[in-house]
Amino acid sequence: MKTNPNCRKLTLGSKIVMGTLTLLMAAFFSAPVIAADVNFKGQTITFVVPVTPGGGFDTASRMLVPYLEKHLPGHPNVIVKNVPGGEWNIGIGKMYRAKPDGKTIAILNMPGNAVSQVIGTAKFDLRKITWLGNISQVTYVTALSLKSGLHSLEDCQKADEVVSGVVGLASTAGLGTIIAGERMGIKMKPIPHGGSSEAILGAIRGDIDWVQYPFTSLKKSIIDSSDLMPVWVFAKERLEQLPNVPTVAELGYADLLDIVSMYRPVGAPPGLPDAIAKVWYEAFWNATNDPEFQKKMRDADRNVYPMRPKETAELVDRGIIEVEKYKGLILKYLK
Amino acid sequence: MYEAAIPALQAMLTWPAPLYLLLGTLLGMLFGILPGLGGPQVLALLLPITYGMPVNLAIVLLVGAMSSIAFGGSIPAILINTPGTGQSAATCFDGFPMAKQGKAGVAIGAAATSSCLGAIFGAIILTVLLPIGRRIVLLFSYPEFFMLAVMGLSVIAVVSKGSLWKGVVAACLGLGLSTIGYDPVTGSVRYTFGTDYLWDGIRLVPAFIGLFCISEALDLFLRRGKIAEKSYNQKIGGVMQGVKAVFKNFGLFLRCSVIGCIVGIIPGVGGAVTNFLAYGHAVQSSKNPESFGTGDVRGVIAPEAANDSKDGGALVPTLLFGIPGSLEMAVFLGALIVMGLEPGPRMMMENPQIILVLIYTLVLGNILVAVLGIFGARVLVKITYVPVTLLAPIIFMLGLMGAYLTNGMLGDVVLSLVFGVLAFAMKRFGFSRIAVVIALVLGKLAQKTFHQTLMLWGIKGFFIRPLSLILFILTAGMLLLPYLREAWLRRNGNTSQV
Repeated sequence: MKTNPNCRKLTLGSKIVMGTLTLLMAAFFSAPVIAADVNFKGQTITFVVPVTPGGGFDTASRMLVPYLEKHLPGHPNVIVKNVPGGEWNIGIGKMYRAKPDGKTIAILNMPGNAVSQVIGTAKFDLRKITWLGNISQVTYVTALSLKSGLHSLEDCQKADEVVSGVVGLASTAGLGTIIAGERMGIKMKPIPHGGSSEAILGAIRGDIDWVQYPFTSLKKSIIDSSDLMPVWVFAKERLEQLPNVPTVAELGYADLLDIVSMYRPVGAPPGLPDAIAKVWYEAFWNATNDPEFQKKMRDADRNVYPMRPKETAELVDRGIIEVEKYKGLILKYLK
Repeated sequence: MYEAAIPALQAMLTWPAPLYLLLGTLLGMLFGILPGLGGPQVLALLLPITYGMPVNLAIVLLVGAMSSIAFGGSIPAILINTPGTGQSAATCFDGFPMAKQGKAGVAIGAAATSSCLGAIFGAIILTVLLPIGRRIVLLFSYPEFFMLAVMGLSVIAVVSKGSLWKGVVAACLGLGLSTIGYDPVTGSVRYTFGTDYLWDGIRLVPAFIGLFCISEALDLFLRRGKIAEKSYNQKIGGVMQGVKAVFKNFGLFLRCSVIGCIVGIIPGVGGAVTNFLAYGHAVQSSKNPESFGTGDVRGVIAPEAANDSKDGGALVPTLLFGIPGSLEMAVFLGALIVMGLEPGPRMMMENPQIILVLIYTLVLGNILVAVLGIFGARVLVKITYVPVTLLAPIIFMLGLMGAYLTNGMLGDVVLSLVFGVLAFAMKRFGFSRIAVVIALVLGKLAQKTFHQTLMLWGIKGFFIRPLSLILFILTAGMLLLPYLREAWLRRNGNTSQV
């Protein structure tokens, strides 16, 4: 059978074109599967901060941004978006419901955020979030007002009433105060405030007896000016800056360390594809371990406590279990 | 501290500090002008840029931006009845009626001068008070905050025009709205209808945008014509007339600057309250209070003096205790800490130069923005001569955009629309929008501090503390004064001046 030479020529050409196309398509479709090929070049990543600007969460997130941009493949733009409100519900919810494409992440407050989950007001499930890691860990200090007439744990335990200045209970600080009071056998009268600075000022004035906040928030009042008297720290070992102040472990309450210690983990929406998650895990780890970032944080008197995703997920799980133990107490105060 | 005065001035004038000052001031002014954006946003935007920058320059940039916010916010308040920031809301009350009369230039001149001098006054007070400010800050506790809020609420009685009952209805509406959301003291969540959005209550910025901007746009749609119903001296002379008005009413200016400083010093009361208190004072202390709200230049001078002098005041607790008095100060405090500076008593001893650079920047930034305002006024007032059919859609869009930009939430846009329609109806039926605004702003503060006082001391807490009692008597006096004056004048047979 004779064949048309022109036709054969065409067939050959089309074969070449088809072959090239197949190769190109194979390369294209296999791309997302290879982790190394996830690239955020020219894209914008939203870093949700569920609280107002200023303060520890906002500052830690903004300080980390340049290093996320540096370590993520393709060096995308990372923008911080403050979505405050609803006791963290709105901001976390925004991240939680975002498309799991690696372009939305959020900073959280543990174990504070576990409170809303345990009492049933949360619009998210912490256990389903794709945890990327942790930025920092915050050490709490209990300080007494100089005008309170209280000087030690025994004084507080003997007092008829200890007025404490707290911020909403769905925060690590507020939760920690009522739990510490309960565990140490102190008759606590919590007076809620709009923010920690208001409560600290109340203690300096002498209207409030007891405040329990992160060391960084209290440092000015207990080290720089001696406006308040630090009585114990929630840490395994004594703090370098407060060598004469005992730890709660020394006082016999080591179990409180699990709940009165705040972490700032970062998470992405549930169901983040493995390939994207892997890229994020590495980039996040490298960013939080970047010596330049760590130096900047240290210079600003903030600690860095990088954690791997698995460790972070375990931390979150432990936090929820701890908070569940105190559900009854929390509900009593919320009534 | 004062021995660092000359080196600090040198640091301020060394290149590129003046450039940073100019950049900061212009950016702050722009953020002030745009409704919905303000101090916290511009500072948060600049924060990452200042990492690693020499401290002096970073302070110049940040404080420069902060210094021009308030006046920036007053420009749209005067021209299109839309306060660019919450702290300029009271400027609308007389600023916009002036614009309608074609006197926008006069209003801008008065606002620029009053802002600038108010800021200088605040900076002087800050410099003088820093060594003794601690005692003043500690004088105010929960009952005093409550009494201040009540004092602010009493302003409603003098600023709401027409029927007293309509004023009361509007105030009750504002108070009712202020109870929406999560109450941090009682832990209860009220009237949220199951939505997350309402947990934080009625957000002030979108509410202001609705009350002033959206309702104004709706009104303009129906009214046609131009904002300026009459033509007035549009040359620089008109603006200078505003400048001179501040000096003619220098007593009022000084009193309002003092109000601004005091409210600024007290952490937690906030800038949104200052301008109302000052405006209320201007009306109350006037011999002809009926002229307010109709385009009285004193109604512009008073809030402008207070909302700029409060910055100097607000820096007292920020620098002395590291305790921010407002959201803007909270962001600024964060910036200082990131720069490795520890605000607090030690900062004054260890870094007096930085504190002085900050104060100088506050003053220079304000002078710069006032000059820009005075000379730019001629161009700016042209907006009031644009046909409203062109202007109203732009105002409407700007308002909605501003509402969205503050937090990037669609709920804010809906809220501003609802408030816009509400305010439009209120205006038509002669209800006071000012009363709603004041009650909305102060209701939350009053509620919180009322509960805190009761929890700590019971009802007697309001009257056993001297300062709280003094504030209570002052408020009662302010409310009774007009009646007493009227009675006194009547007895003297001279009722015509009342």
